[in-house]
Amino acid sequence: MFVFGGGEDIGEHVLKQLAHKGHEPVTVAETKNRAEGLKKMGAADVMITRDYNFVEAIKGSEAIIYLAEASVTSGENKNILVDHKAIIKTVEEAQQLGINRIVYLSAVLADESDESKSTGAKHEPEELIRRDGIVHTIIRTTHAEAKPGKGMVKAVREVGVNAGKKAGDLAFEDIAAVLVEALENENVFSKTFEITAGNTPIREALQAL
Amino acid sequence: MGKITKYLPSAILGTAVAVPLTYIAYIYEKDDRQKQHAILRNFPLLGRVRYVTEKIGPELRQYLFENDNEGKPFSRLQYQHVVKAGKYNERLIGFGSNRDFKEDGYYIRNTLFPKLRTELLVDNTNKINTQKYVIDHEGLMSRKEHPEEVQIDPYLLTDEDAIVLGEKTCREPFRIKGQVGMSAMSYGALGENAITALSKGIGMAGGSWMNTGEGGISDHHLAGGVDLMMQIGPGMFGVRTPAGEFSMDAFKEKAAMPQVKAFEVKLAQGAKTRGGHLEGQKVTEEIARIRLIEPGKTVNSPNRFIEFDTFPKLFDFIEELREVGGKPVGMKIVVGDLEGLEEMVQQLKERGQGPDFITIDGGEGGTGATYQELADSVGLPIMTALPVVDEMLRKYEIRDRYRLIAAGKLITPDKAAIALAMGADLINIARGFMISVGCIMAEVCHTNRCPVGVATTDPELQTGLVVEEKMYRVTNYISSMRAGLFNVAAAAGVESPTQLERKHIIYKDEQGRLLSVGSMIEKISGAEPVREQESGALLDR
Repeated sequence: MFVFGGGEDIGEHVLKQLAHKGHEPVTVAETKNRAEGLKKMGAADVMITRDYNFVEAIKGSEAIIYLAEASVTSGENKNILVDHKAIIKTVEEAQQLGINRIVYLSAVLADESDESKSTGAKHEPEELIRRDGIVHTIIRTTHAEAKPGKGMVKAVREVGVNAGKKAGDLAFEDIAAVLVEALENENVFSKTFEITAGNTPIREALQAL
Repeated sequence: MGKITKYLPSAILGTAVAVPLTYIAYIYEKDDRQKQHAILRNFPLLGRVRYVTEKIGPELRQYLFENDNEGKPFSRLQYQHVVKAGKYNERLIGFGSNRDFKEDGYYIRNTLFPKLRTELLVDNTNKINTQKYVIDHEGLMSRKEHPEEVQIDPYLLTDEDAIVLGEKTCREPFRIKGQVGMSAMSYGALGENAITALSKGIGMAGGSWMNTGEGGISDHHLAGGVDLMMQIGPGMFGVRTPAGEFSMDAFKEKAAMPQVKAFEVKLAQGAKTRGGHLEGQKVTEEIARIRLIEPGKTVNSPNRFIEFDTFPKLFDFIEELREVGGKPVGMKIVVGDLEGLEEMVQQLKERGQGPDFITIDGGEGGTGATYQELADSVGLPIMTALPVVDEMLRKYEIRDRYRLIAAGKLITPDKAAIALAMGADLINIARGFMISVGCIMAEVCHTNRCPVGVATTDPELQTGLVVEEKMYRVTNYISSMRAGLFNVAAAAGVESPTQLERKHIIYKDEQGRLLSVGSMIEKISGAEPVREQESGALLDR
């Protein structure tokens, strides 16, 4: 498994949970010390940003988890810097190497207004991933923060504007659990869905989509 | 009926005037005749104003008149820093420091190229689930706030950086991944609620330790599954025969407990170089069982271990404890007699190991009860004592054999970091932890009348301290301390607080002149410092 954004808040949990399930997650970190820290969390291998070869890095991965994580602590009408090129390149290279599975945590918040969703073209990477014929799952979340996970969410096609305000914030840990569950849950292959705080166990919630 | 309604108002009015007047006359007469107070004999009634204001003075000063930096032992600000870290998991301040920069003191030498967050050697693998308060609205008369569940980083040292007690000497060394732990506080001095909240809170934070104090191991210490350091004082509580002598059997029993990770032999304590005193009425069945003493009988501990009065005897005892228990054994000292300290270090050099760690308690340390003369003037404060011990061990080239634990009002991350830079490996905190479970510094620990139920075994007063509420504050405080240490380390340009050295701090006197730690040692003890890492023409050598 290759995890983009493994060094971020949700990424750390993704690494831990993947390792816990017996996968061997690979990710990228800025420094050697940070790499050691991520290995302790469960990363099988960590490349250093400055001197790694992207193609080499993802070679041998079965799937890619891509976290555009800036979104979950942002808000209405905020620009998020999404590196479109990075995502296009990721998908292209992945396909050439025969990797056929991507789980994408979108830069778009689930409960934004339509106007806000397209601010700064942050919705475009979603279109790219959908078009590309790779088996994708695109997940949008409402606002999230560091708190204990419950193992429960609400997952629907569209949660509606301001759903997060009504339901409360999600836990980073739970978002990570949704991503890890989505990876192998065939029910969500080639689907886009949105999650918010809720009371359905994660597996059930994804099964019901 | 008519008469009653006619005369009732004036009767009530008459009584209302007559009764107080009679009472005032009685008090006046009483004051005038008594022989105890001159001021009341000369100014009956009026003189009482003096006693009333004297009584409420401390509280008025604490809350209204003292400035934020004035309070002793801890100023309002120092106290608030601990409370905020515990309650709100917050260390931010606005507008700038309130420290008096004219005063002399230590400063951390920052680098212009600090370490980035991602360059730090930190272990944040296992997040801590805790609770903090969030303020909704702060009004003049009320504050609306609510508790929220949060997940925070533990800020532990990496496995490679862990501080190990008894690494080369014990069957079961004690690995410590957090440099801040709880200093000795006995059950009895603190109530069961406070001890339980502390045990659970420190347990949740992980990587730390809890020193039992000399009052033995209670179930309350064990409640949170936390690693314990058992202290053995001259009273031998918990490891004694009925006659008060040391009992190896009782010790073996304690050493076999999985939660007990180390032992500390207490020679002295910063606040009191004397034996403890426990009133008979406080010796409940439970306390008697824990301490192995008789219920209802007053106990006075001697002010030193009767069995040993020389270093060789002491070190023999310590080494025997380690041999039998298989766990690290340290000793707690207060530095005052520099010649005696040198003799101790010489002995250690000649004979080999001795203790695994040395706890250095500053003279400014806290206590539940002590005599003024001992608290104020006996023993050197930590910022003097610590570098002297560190230097002495270096001089005899045996510094690497021992871990040093420093204590004495090190309740904020900056103070703790300065101690680490001076040579401490670990930091002991007692009163900071008390504040985190609700202490308001009423200074009545010795009366069993603690208004917030911390330093009391009174069940009534203890109802004020709710364990499930306060344990989270302990967790937040300890992780805040650790986060702060990493913050300071990054500013000083090192990857971990374990890498802080003398060269990262500097002493500034009232004139703004700078002194290195080395030259401070020279001034204190007249000794040439061994390894001077300082450079620069600014330094007064």
